Amino acid sequence: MSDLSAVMQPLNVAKGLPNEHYVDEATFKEERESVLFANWSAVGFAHDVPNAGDANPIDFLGMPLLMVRDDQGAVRVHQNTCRHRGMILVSEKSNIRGTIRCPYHSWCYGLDGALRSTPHVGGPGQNTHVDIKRNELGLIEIRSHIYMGVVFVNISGNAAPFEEVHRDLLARWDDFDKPLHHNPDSAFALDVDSNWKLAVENYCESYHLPWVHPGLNLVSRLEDHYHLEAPQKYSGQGSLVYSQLKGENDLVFPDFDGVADKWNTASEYVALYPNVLLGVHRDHTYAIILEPRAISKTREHVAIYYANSRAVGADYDAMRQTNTAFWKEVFEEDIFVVEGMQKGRHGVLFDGGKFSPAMDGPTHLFHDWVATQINNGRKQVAAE
Amino acid sequence: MSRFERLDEQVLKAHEQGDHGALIDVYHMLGDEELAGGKITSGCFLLTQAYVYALEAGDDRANEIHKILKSHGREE
Repeated sequence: MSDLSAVMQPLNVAKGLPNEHYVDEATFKEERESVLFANWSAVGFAHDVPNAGDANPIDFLGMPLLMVRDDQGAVRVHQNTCRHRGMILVSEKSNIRGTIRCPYHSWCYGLDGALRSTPHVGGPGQNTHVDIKRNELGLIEIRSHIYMGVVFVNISGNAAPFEEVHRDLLARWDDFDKPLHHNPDSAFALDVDSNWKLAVENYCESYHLPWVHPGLNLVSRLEDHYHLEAPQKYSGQGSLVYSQLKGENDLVFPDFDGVADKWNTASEYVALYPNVLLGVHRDHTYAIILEPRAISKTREHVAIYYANSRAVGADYDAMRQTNTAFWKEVFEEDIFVVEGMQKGRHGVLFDGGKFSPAMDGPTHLFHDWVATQINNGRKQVAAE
Repeated sequence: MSRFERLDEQVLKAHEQGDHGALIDVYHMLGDEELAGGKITSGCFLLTQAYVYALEAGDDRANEIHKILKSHGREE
């Protein structure tokens, strides 16, 4: 069991998470429960299921989930497991025209999870049985919440409501909490040989910008950045010199309706714990979902959103392409550092690392939050 | 080829092609025939097959078959 006491010290004397949290399978499993399942973790985008009946099976660290859009247009997440014999219900992305039929014994569920039929359950041609209570055997729905286009789930079912946990950020970014518009050409994924947390840690701080993103630094210098530090909630960085992309004839993306003047030249980048990286600008936002595929394998799913339907139409095709290429280049520039840190954590004498008291505050906050979640999990196990 | 063999072939082909409409047609027809002959259990068995595929496909015939099954105490 890792020793987290040094992690939870004040920034100037704290150390980073010990190596086990990046290279040890038992610790990875512990984090699965205490960090990812116990909190509001991202498992996909709402636009992954754009139409009623769309069903998208997700393997979230081995947990089978099924994201659907129901007939009322709401996104729901169910455990993708039949209540009868535990068969996986949906194996491929598909559109469910009627009910979800288990491929084994054909128990049928509505998109809302209700058990609709149990064929031959009481014998041939008898579809009822006194001990089969359909109202108790619907699909197990996982608590879910959509924010900034991202579908968050709380698998343990014990986290406080999303709006309560993230009240501060929701208020801070109220200007962007609006319908977002997405074109499939504004999405991509990057596979990284790194533990998912290293992508969070790198995203939190601006310290690396002059060295890793020289182009970004040209338009947004280190001294133009400020820390975003909300202990136990989120952390990141902001910039004071955002300038809009300009297309032909000085065309710019349309702003979000009613966006405050303070955003004219500002942008903010937040790691929303545990596994989402968000960015907001007056004319677009983006979300990066970090999908932990293994202890040292992460897939970064990136989606860019715009303020209205015009911006995702043909008039802006070329500008969207430029914007997507810009962000892709930025995020690709980060790959060698997160992969390098992953390799570095096999150094058995590495002690978690010494933070810069001036520059690494946001990263330390993430470590402190992870350590807190793990300690909470350990307390719970001890109490059971 | 007997009628049974022909229908069996039709069902297998429909399964292979995921042709729910054809599956509903065949099972519905056979179920109705069994019920007409007073064979309630086998009729309801076949209609259940049709019902499940109709439910899965969102086919309107699911409502009609549900009523028949319910009238025989075979569905909720």
